[in-house]
Amino acid sequence: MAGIITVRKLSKQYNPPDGPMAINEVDLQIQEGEIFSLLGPNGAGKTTLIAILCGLFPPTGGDAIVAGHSVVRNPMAVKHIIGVVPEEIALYPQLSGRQNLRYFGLLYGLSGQELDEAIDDVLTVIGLADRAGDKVGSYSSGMKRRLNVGVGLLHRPQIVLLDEPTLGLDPESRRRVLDLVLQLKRDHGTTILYTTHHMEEAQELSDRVGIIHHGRIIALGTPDELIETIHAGDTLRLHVGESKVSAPLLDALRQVRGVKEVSAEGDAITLSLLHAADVLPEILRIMQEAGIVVSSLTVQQPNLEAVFLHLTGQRLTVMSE
Amino acid sequence: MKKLLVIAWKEIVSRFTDPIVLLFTIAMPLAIAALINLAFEGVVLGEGIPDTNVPVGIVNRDKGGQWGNFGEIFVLAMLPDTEASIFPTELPFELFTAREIEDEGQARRLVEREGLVAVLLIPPDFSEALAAERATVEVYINDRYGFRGVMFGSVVEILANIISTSEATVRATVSVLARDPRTRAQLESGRLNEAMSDLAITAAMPESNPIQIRLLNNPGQSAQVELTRYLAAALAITFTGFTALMGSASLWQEKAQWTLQRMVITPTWPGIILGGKTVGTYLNGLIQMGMLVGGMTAMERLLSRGPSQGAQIDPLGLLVLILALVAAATGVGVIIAGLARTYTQAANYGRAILLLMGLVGGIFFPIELFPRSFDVLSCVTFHHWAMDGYLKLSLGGSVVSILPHTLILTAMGLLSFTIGSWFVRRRIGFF
Repeated sequence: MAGIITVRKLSKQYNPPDGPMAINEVDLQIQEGEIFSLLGPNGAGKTTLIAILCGLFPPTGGDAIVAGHSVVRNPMAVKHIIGVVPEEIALYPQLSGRQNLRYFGLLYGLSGQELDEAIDDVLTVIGLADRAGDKVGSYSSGMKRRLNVGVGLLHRPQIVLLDEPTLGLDPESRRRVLDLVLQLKRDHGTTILYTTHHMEEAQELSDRVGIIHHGRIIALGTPDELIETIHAGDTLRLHVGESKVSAPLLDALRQVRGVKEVSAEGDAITLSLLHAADVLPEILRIMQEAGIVVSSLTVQQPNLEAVFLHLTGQRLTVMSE
Repeated sequence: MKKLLVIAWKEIVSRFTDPIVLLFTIAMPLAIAALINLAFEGVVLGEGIPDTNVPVGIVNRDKGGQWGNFGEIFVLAMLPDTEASIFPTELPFELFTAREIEDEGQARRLVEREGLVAVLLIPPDFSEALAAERATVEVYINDRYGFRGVMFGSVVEILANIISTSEATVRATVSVLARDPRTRAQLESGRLNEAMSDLAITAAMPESNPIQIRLLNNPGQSAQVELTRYLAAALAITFTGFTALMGSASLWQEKAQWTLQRMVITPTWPGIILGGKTVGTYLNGLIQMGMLVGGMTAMERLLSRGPSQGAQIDPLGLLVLILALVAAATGVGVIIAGLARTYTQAANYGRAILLLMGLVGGIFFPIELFPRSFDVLSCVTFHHWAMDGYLKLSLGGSVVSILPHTLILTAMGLLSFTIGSWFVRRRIGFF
């Protein structure tokens, strides 16, 4: 099935012929109505891919077809279809929120009542209706981010490209943006290409995820599929407080079926498990019989961070700092 | 077209809703103009010229005659530090500093624009007329300088008398004649000795002074340019240049804050974006000029302690000149933005370039004070044409009189925009 976005051997080299390859022969297909996340550290090529898809600059190789239009041959047609939310807060601080929306709405070809309605709708969706008349320079960073998203949605695009839309946001504002993305898909069936270096966001939002590293897509699939590929289990962490952990206890834990690895450090015992739910009662029983009081425990399931670590040997969170 | 106007409108709203911008583009020049008004009210350009070293000119168009070039005698006599100078450096000669000017039109303009107090105009047939019967020279005087111009006329008259009576003059005359190859040939052949003697005798007779002096008053003598108006115009031109520069430099600012990219990723052609920003910058310049002209006029009326000494300026001429000036300034702004790589570069280097252009263009000091080699350089600045046009209007000129200025300024704007937009597109990268 042909995707609404089909990327074929897309490459971009800055300052050719000796400049760096920002993206290198990327192949990708995004289906209509899905949320596709591009996960990768800073400098992986996410923003370059978005910039080419929205017609900001042409690729040095390959092509991308967006809703039937080539970004190389007919970028203007593509621009009508897509909405873009850049990583930067691309707004005029000296203008009000409403003036910013009106300005970009006019550039998208909206006018009259259609424009007024679109502005009101977007202001409601992003929760800024009561501050629409204030200058953007007086907004908090969360409000600016939301308005930044709002501008990209103004012309009710079929496809929305969001480039790190939660960058620098506090948890509450971040939650609002994520909910907004989910709402777009749920209520409008919008196709969303979402780039992030936060694996939790990708995992929560995405129908499918592409992991990009050094300009290449190194893994592609649903979050579950990607996690499955690395055959990683759960990690159980038991906090034992002042209780003394003995070597026989650790041996006893290692004997439990489904436990792959056991280690103790400080006041915690860490166990690698196939499935935490299957073995947790047995582990707690052994701990009780050994007279060890478990003050708290955490179960960490495998995630995209682990997938990235597995594929690249590097931690995503460290690389993005 | 609609999008172009939308972008232009945004430029205007962004600029004129920013208090800092208003402070620097409107309030500051008006405040400076107010101070100038208070300090120099009533001072007229040229009145500050000293009573010694009074600048005068001499235009020798004499083509010479059978006896040589008699006009050259005036030149030798009047130019300072001439080796061949044959006149004593005593009063009243030492009061004047003369310079030779080749073009009569330019010399007249300098007198009219108050670069010179007066100019001696020697006609092409002076030597022939002098040999035949009587010759006439003209002294074109700017009456604004009162006695200085009249005194120069007297000096020329004295000079003419000296030429016709002094033995030294005869010697100089003979010397000049002797340097002429044709005369030299005739002397060597012995055919001219008698004629030379006759010439000396004739010249030595006071009643036979063959040189008539005609004093001409500057036709624009009633029109004066008050210093406050000159400086107000200089301020307005300078600040309009800055506004145009900052408008164009804002391309880099928008690139840095990503609003330029956001415009580009809307279905809007890059040419429309650049055009819209340029039209916006142009309109901002016009609005600023309107506010400055209005503000300065009101201020002049409020602070004036007496009736204005200057002529009424043709409002249509001023409007046309402003339209052309802002076009030129906008075009130059685009070039400067196109040569920069960042907003800071464009703003800082641009301001320095504009100040330099203003200096060379003669808006801070009259260009006549600079060496003549600056004349050409001055002509490539919009400051020069704007100020020259303004002075013409101030001296009572009409819109027709500044037609060349407006055409040159408009052409300057279009050419600069064409070149500048090419640079901008290359530098910005995604245009």
